[in-house]
This record gives sequence, C-alpha cells and structure tokens, in this order.
Amino acid sequence: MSRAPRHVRLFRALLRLFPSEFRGDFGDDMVEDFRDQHDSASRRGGLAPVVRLWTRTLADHVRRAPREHLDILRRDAGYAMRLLRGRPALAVSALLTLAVGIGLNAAVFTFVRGVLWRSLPLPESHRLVDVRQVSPPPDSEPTAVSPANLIDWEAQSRSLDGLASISGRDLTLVAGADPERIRAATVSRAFFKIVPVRPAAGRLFIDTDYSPLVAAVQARDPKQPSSPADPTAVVLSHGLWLRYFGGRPDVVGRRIRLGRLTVEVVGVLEAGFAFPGSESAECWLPDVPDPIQRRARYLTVVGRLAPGVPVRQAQAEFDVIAARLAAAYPDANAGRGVRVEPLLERLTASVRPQLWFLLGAAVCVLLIACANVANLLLAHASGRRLEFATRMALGANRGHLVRQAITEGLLLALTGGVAGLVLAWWALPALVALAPPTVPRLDEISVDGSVVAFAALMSLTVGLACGLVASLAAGRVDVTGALRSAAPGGTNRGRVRQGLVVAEIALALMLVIGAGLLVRTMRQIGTIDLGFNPAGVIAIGLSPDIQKYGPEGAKAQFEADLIDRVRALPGVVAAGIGSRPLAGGGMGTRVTAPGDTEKVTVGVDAVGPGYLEALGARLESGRFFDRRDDSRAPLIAIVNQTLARRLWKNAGVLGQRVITDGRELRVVGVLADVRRAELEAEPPATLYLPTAQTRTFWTNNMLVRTSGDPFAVLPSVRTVMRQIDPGQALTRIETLEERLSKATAPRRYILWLVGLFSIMALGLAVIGVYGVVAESVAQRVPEMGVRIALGATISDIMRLILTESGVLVGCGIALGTLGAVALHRTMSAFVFQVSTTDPATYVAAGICLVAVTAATCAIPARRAARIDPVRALRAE
Amino acid sequence: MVTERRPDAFLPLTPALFHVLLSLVDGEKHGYAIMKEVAERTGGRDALSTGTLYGILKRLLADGLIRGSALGSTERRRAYRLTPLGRRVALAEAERLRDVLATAQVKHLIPRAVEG
Repeated sequence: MSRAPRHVRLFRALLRLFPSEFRGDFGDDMVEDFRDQHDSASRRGGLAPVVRLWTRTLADHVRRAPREHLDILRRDAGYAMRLLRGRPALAVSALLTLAVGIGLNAAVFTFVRGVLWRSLPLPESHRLVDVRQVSPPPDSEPTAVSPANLIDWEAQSRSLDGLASISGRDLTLVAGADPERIRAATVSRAFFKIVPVRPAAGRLFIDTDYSPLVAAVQARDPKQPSSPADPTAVVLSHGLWLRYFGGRPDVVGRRIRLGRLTVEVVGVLEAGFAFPGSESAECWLPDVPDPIQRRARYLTVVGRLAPGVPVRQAQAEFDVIAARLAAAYPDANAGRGVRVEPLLERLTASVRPQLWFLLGAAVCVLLIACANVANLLLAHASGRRLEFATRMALGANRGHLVRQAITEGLLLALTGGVAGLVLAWWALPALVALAPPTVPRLDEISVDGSVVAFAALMSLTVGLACGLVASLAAGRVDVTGALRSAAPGGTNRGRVRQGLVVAEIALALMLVIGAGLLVRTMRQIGTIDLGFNPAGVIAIGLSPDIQKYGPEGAKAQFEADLIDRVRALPGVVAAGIGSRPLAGGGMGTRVTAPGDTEKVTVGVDAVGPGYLEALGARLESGRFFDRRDDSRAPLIAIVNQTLARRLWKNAGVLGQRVITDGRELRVVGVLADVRRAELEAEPPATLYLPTAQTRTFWTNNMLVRTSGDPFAVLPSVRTVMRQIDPGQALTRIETLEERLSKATAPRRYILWLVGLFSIMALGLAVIGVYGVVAESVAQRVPEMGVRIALGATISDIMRLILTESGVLVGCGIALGTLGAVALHRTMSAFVFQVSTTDPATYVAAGICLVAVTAATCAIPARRAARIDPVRALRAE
Repeated sequence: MVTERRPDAFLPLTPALFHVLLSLVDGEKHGYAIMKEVAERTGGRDALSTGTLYGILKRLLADGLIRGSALGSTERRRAYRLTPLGRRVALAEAERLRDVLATAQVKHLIPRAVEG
C-alpha cells in the first residue's frame, strides 16, 4: 500500500483527539471526506482555501472531541449505575466501606492540617520565628531567654527584622464593676512591629510608653536588683473591651487599675487577634528587658525573618552570636547555644509525632477499605466473565472493558467520597471536642475547601486504584473459554483477591500491634512511682498582691496565717505552700558539696511547712520542714534521693552541707524522688528549700490534703481567704488526680483513636477474608459434594476450608509482623518503657487476628460441610 | 433496542442536525456529499466540518433516524439514508418551522409570501 499524502496523515493524527470507539466507527469515513474536501479546496487554486479548511477543521475537532469523550463517560457511568443498582448489597457494602475510609481520613487530615500545616492567623506568619537559648551539653535542652541576651541579640542580628519578648502574668482588673482576674501579656518594644496588628480604637504602644521603663532600668543601681518600673499604658484585647467595657469608644484615655498598677488605656486591638501561645491574653503591657539579668532566663522571644532570609541562615548567624556571647559572659552563657525555629513548628512540636501517627493509622484503614472494595469489584467481575466475554465477542475491546471497570470504581469512590465528607463533617467536631486541651490551635480547625479537595483527590485515587485492580479481571477474559462454560474460575484473579486479603490482614495486624503497644504504654504509665500520693489532694492557685506582700515578712505572715487556718478546717489533713506537681517548668540552679569541684544541676523547689505532707511525699530519712525553719533559723535543705546519690552516694546524707548561690545549707531530710515537673521523665536531682529562707521565690500555689472529697473543703477555704484578704481570688483549682489525668490525656486520646481505627481495620479485614473464603466455598460446591460422597466427614471438610484460609491469615500475619518490626523505630516515639518489638504484644495481636478470622471462616466452612452431596452433584 | 419514539419527542432540532436530515431527504449520501450540499444550500454560512458532522451522524444513528449502508467492495465509505422515523422527524421539524414562520408573518415581522 502506498504511503498516504501528508495532509491525510496529518488529518489522521488529528483524529486521535476523538475516543477510539468514535474513531473506529467513523474514522475511515472522515478521512475519505476530508480527502475530498482537501482536493476540492486545492482545485479552487491558491493556498487560501486550503488554509481555511485546515483552520476550520482544527477548530471543529478541538471543540467536538471532548464532547464525544464526555458522551462515553456518561454512557459508562449510566451502565455502571444500572449494574450497581442491580446488586444493591455489593453497592451498599462498597459505599459504606469507602465512606468510612475516606471520611475518617478527611476528618483526620482536617484535624492534622488545622494544627500542623495551616499557617498561623497572622500576616506573613511564615516569617515568624521562635528564638530560644539551649542549655549546655549534654542536656542541650531549649530554655527561655535572659533579658540581657535578648538586648545583645537585638543589637547584633542582621538576619532578623526584629526581636521581641512576650511574657504573661495574671492581674486583677479593677475599673468600676466587679474586680476580675485577667491574663496580661507584657511585650517589648518591637513586638507590634514584628506581629503587625491594627488597633480597633486608639493606638498601639509608642516610644513614650516605653521611655519611663527605659529610664528606670538605666537609673537603677546594678547592685540592687529590685522590681522593675511600672508601665503606664495598656492596650486591651477586643474581647475584653467588649466584655468588660461594653465596647465603649470612650474607654481609650481612661485610667484603670490592674493589680497595683494604674495605667491608661491607649488602644484596643482589632477583633480576632490572638498571639499563638498567648491566646488567653486580654490586655497588653509594655515591658523593657532588664540588661542586668543575664542568668535569669524567663523570656519567650519571637523574631521576624528579614525578607528572603531562610531560617537556616538566621540559625547560622545566631550560632555565631551565641559563641560571641558565651565568650563575653562565660558565667551565664558558657556552652549555651541558640535555636531559631519557625514559630509554627515550635508551637506544634509537642503533638507533631502523635498526629503523624494518627494520620498513618487512618491511611492504614483507608488502604484496607480500598483492598476490600477492589476485592468486592473483583468478586463482582468474576460473576461477570460471561458478560465481558459477550461484549468482547460483540466488538468491545479490552480497553473498553478496563475503562468500564475504572468508571465503576470511580463512581463508587466518588459517591463514597461524598458520603465520607458528610461523615467527616460530623466526626470532626467530635474529634476536636475530645482532644486534650494541650493540643494547640484546636479552635482553628474547621472544614473548608481544602478538605473537599482532599476528599475528592482521595476518592479519585481510590476509585482509579480499585477500578484498575478490578479491571485485571476484564483484561484477562478468555472469550471462547468463558463462553463455552459459564462456570466461574480464573486462578489469576483468585490470586489477586488472596493477595489483597493478605495485605488487609497485614495492615490490620500492624494497627492492632500499634494499639497494643499503646495499651501497654498506658499501663506502664499507670505503674510509675510518682513519689507522691495524689488521692484527696486539691491544688489552689493564690494571687497575692506583690505591693501588699512585697515587704519583708508580710508574705510569710500571710502564708502562715492561711495555712494555719486551712489546716484547722474539718476534713483537712495537711496543707502547705509550694509548686503544683506535673505542671512542667520549674526553676533550676547548680549546687556543690563543700570540698567538691563538681557542680550538679538541680531543680529547686521552695516549699512551705506542711507542703510535703500535703503532697504525700515519702521521707526516706530526716524530717520535713516546719514553722521553726524561718528566716532567722540556720539555713537548711531537703534533697531527693537522686541528689543524695549524686553528691554523697546515699551515705550519711543527713547533716551534710550543700553550697548554692554562695550560701551553705545543711541537709535535714531525704525524700523519695518526686515527679515534680514531668510525668514521664525521670525526676532530676532536686533541692527543696523552706520558703521562709528564700526571697527570690514567689510561689502562688497551695496544696490541701483532705480525708474525703477534696472539693468539699473548698467553700470553707474560700471563707478563710475572705477573712484574711478579701481582695484575693482563688484560681486554677484542680485536684492532683485531675492534674495526673491531664498529663496522660494526649496519650489516652491517641490510644482511643488508634484503638478505634484498629477495630475498624479488623472489621474490614474480617469482611475481606469472609468474602474470599465464602466465594471459594461457593465455587467448590461440586468438589465438596464429591468429597462428602466419598466419605469425608464434617470435620474433614471444615479442616480443609480452615486450612486454606489459615494459609491466607498466616501470610498476612507474617507480613504484618515484618511491617510492624520495620516501623518499630517510628513507634518508639509513642511508647513509654515498652519495647516496640515487645513479643507479648505481637503474639497477643496475632492471636487476636487468628481468633477473629477463624471465627469468621468457620461460617463458610460449616456451610461447606453441610453440603448435600446429591444436590451438589445433580447441579453439576 | 430503541423503541419507536414519537417524532415530536425529538423537536426542536438544532439547525445543523436539521440541515443534515434535509440533505438526506432526496436520497442516500455519504459524508462529503452532505457537507457539500449543506454548504451550497446555505451559501457557506452553515458549513459543517468533519468532526461536527460525524458527531451528528452518530446521534442520528443511535436515535434510529438514519441508517448507514454496508460497505461493499467498490465503496470507499458508508452512505447514509433516512429511516421512516427520520423522515417523519424532518417533516415534523419543517412543519414546526412553518408554523413559526406563519406567526412571524401574522405579526408582520416578515412580508407574506406571494402565492402562486
């Protein structure tokens, strides 16, 4: 055959825009027609008619071809719809499975995105960084920042456009109506430049708001650290302005009382502004970092990257600055580094691994759901071999059948996706409501366009995957074979289905193992020796006015009065002033034993008489503090066992001396280690000092141990407080058991969710196994008939079926175990004192899967064993 | 199988579709002949291109308004002719258009055609 002219070849190429079916039906005719059109145009002479023909044809094809594709899609979808309507059980189970899988993932994705990925609700928030100091190695823990270092950073940094400190304190607002306890944020000068926000009324801080503070800091005698100067201006949050001042514009310019401060309201922030990490702040005060304080690290520092500067570059610059400051001020800064981190990452660091884990678990459930649906479609396709073969014999090619299968998959997945989205809509609020409050940015989670896009993308992928797997059946139709015998068969397809079931079991096992490890972790945490007894203890926050109780002895007198009266209340066993356990943070210092050169880093707690008794700390030797240990008495301390071991190898500790901050203290007691700050961290070496002998501590917390319901004593404690100081409110009231429960809440949350996911996974896997085994039994009815006719007993047949399914389950378990072992490093972030390859957990999870699947497979196995051989053979 | 539908069910037809039906009224034609006739009849105003034409032919075939000839050994391409249903549909559309035209005349939008 001679080669076609060039314009014909070009036209043929253009025809490729149309679907193959259309081309097959009309392509040759179209080519012939075009050839005639072209000849006629050429005959008319000149290039113009030919060019006109080409332009018109090209435009026409481009416009027309998509319509033809859409037409076919509509036809396939209509066909798929009719098929699914004809098999409602299949359609409903596939839809439900997909809805659960996609809905779960959409909900978890929205949750994770809202917390981890969505940018902070501030302009150009990607440029905001958190800057912290890092303690010397080997700890290398991030710490807060000292004011003097902040001043030097501001002067030296070029990679940041600005640095500012923010810290919080509670103040009592008095402005007419009832006094109210509110949270104040104090910010240094650059803060509102770094974090741009507009005032809704009045103005933000200007230099004159800071000048009295600067003057006070400069005029101060460096030898006499005293309380810094008082701010004179305040900016209110929009919420406080509405709530307390009724949104009146004339509040700007008014003077209000905040604790002992008298400040002028200079402005109100715009509605909705909240600085991440200080969301509860209701008023803002100016603050100037104190250049004398280089060793006291208590500031939170936020910076803004200069335009175009990556975090890496800022970190490199701060490494140099840190080294310079360490050389200049070795006592305060030797060995200390600086860490620059995007603010968003810093805020979410504590929950990031858990949320990733949750997302992984949800994806596992989705994969299992996918495998199940692919399996259902495959089973469905097996039943349709005759139909496929007939259609192929009538001229459909394999491509059409594959496309048909994919359309079915997509139709199911998209419908499932819509249902899933509805499910996510409903599940998300529950997910948020049940989340522990320690998860940051919970209030920023909402369903939005991106979730719909995510669900759509997921549905498309799932539909395509399911359809492709199902089309394996279509692609392998043996037309003559299938037409000759309508009996189902096809070992290849059977293998695919078995492979899918093995994968499902493996994934389900991995989830069950994960859940098992979390359960063991929770139990392990339950066995932690806290070093104190939380039962019956209530913690009450105090808010003594610094002005009133600042003078020497006034606070000690107030505390002694309060504790004496509270202890005398009925139902109270012990009471004392001191820190709240498991609240994180805490102060630290370094101590030495006389004659020793080694400096030991210790946590310090200043506690009043009765506190350790109220806490239920265990005294190993010596005594607790009492009323005699006042400021005039010899300086004493109690150490915990870890410190006793570090300094004196636990021998002859009582009466030993420790030196800290140039003072020598005599040890009067040894305590069993108490988990003061963190539940899961080994308690550090700790030094307890009597409050009366420390002036730098300002503890605003009281513990009360009761003999019954701790809340029952609260009214009488309030009465006592009113008698002693009517202006003081009791705040932050909680029992230590609540505190403990809060400390484990994130783990419990993850455990519940992963537990729920693994139950779903198990359920889906069981459905998958059941489907495959039941189908295999159905296919082998005649064979079973023969076996029974030849004398096989019920238990023989059951053993046969169970052995077969046992192989599948066994393969799945082997694969799942390998998968879990492969991921055990990832799991180690979530467990506590449990090995991530803990054999007991693995075995228990395996047994659980075997038991569940065996129970499921027993149903079709019994059916097989009950087959009536006569009927089975007659049907053949 | 498509059951016989009433001709009215297809109305109104798109101009291009009606042109194709019209060109088949006086006998069977292949694609090029249809395109040529429509172009000549409308002075090139409603010229069809291959893509549009075969999209229309596909629909007409599916609806049973036309039938394609079998390819013989001498034929390079298929020819199409109206089915009885196709003819009735074309007629119904023509009558519909006549009524529309009559209304336009009654309202003196266009002058009444001279009889004879």
